[in-house]
Amino acid sequence: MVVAWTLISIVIGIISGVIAAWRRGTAADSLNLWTALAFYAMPTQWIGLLVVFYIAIPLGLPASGISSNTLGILSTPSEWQIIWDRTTHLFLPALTLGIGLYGEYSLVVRSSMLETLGEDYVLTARAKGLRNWAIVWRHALRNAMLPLVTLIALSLGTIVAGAIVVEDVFSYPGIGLATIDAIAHRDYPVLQGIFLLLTLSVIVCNYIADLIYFKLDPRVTT
Amino acid sequence: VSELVQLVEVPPAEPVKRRGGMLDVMFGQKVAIVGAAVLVFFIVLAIAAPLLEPYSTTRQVGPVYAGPNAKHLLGLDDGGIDMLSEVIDGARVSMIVGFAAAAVAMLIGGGIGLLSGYFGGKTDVVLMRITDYFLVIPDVPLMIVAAAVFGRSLLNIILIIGVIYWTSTARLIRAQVKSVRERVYVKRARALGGGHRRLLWNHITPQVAPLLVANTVLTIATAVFAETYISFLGLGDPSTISWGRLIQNSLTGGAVFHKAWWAIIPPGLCVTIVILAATMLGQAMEDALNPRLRVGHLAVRRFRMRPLGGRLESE
Repeated sequence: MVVAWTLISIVIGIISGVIAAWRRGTAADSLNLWTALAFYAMPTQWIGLLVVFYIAIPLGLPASGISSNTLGILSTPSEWQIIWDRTTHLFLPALTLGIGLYGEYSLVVRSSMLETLGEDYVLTARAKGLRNWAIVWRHALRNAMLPLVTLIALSLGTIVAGAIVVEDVFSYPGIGLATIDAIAHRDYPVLQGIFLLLTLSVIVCNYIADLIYFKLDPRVTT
Repeated sequence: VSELVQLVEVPPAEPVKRRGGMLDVMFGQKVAIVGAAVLVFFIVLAIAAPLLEPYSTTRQVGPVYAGPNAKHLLGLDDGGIDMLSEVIDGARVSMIVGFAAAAVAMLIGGGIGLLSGYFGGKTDVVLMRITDYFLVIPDVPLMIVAAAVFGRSLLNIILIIGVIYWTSTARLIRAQVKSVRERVYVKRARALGGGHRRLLWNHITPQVAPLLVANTVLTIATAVFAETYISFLGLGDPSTISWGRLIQNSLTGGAVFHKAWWAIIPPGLCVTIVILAATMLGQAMEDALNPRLRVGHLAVRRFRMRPLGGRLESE
């Protein structure tokens, strides 16, 4: 689910960034720019509180824990009930994380696209009479994606850490909450384990990013 | 076609004057003025906090989670303390941490950038590897661990944040110093027998100083953000009120279940506004200064085009 929301925020971030760059200077661009900037500037834990306050309570969504305490007391819940329970508990934390990431991605895509759209080959593509979407998707975005891949890889690697405050707000038992507990109890072996995990995830994500680089940029062959 | 014209047309860069050029360009942008004004407002608020606070931040002045009214404009928190006073008081710590930590980052980053860019060679390699190392450390866990291990005090928080966020400054300054070093006047000074210290201090530092300041303003935003994280996780200085701590209070105090929006929104909003302001100002300053954003082949191309019966012409 966290992965799903990260993907969603990546996609929304890219699309809005591309549109904003294409329609530079229009109302849509400045609207997106300010929304993204505002989300980017908000402390994540505060977004979490706002989400609880303005989304969870009116909609009656659960705002803490990984599953309902009452589930399974009176009867044995079916698999679907358990899955549904977990999903609803995961929805808000993931949404919070996604909102924060969206701002960052959108801003980066926008500036990267703006740079690429000024290049000669975009002009050439335009001169060949290609359609707008062909220029954007095939020529500009592919090149604008390069810095974004690095950013996404880095943020995926550290998302475990970024989730600390979100997990704290929603008291969601994940690695983040484990970190806080370990610190509170001075449990250094657990902390070491968490750091090993974090380091590994950063390394793995960077490796994947390098592989995607090969795919995206034929110039990288060494 | 009209889309494309709109798309690639970039207003020609105004020629930079040597003196006051930065300020001219900067204040030509509305965002820079707004950002500066907001920052100044919060600085004044922080300095004058004891005079402006209507109530004490340590004494209960009314019922728990009383709503906003004429006497308490932002209501009361979970201890019956006036929220408005707390938010004003929180500005002090948050601004101190923001500025001091950014200053620490400026000193470390500026110093390393200068040395690395000036001496080059092995010094450069070693210093840049250290920078890379700090760049990839996941910042939040490191902050948490450092805050937990070294104890909770304001000074520690400032040092920790400063030590984590100097890397981008170092890289930017290094790149800038590398180009300044090759300029004729620096070579001339060297030919006249100027020592390393003289060259660095009298000839190169003044050239990169404005960029350093611009970058530091950006770091303020990061530092304020980081402070909310640390305080929120209960690792801040327990004897002081900061915006991060107020946000934490609203969570642990159960403001959500009392429907006390006045305890949740103001501190977070303040953080967001300060970060936005610092980002806008810093970005505007950097735009005005960073030659990379100006020089043609490094920045967005300046094509001036007009539609000619479906064809495009590049001037």
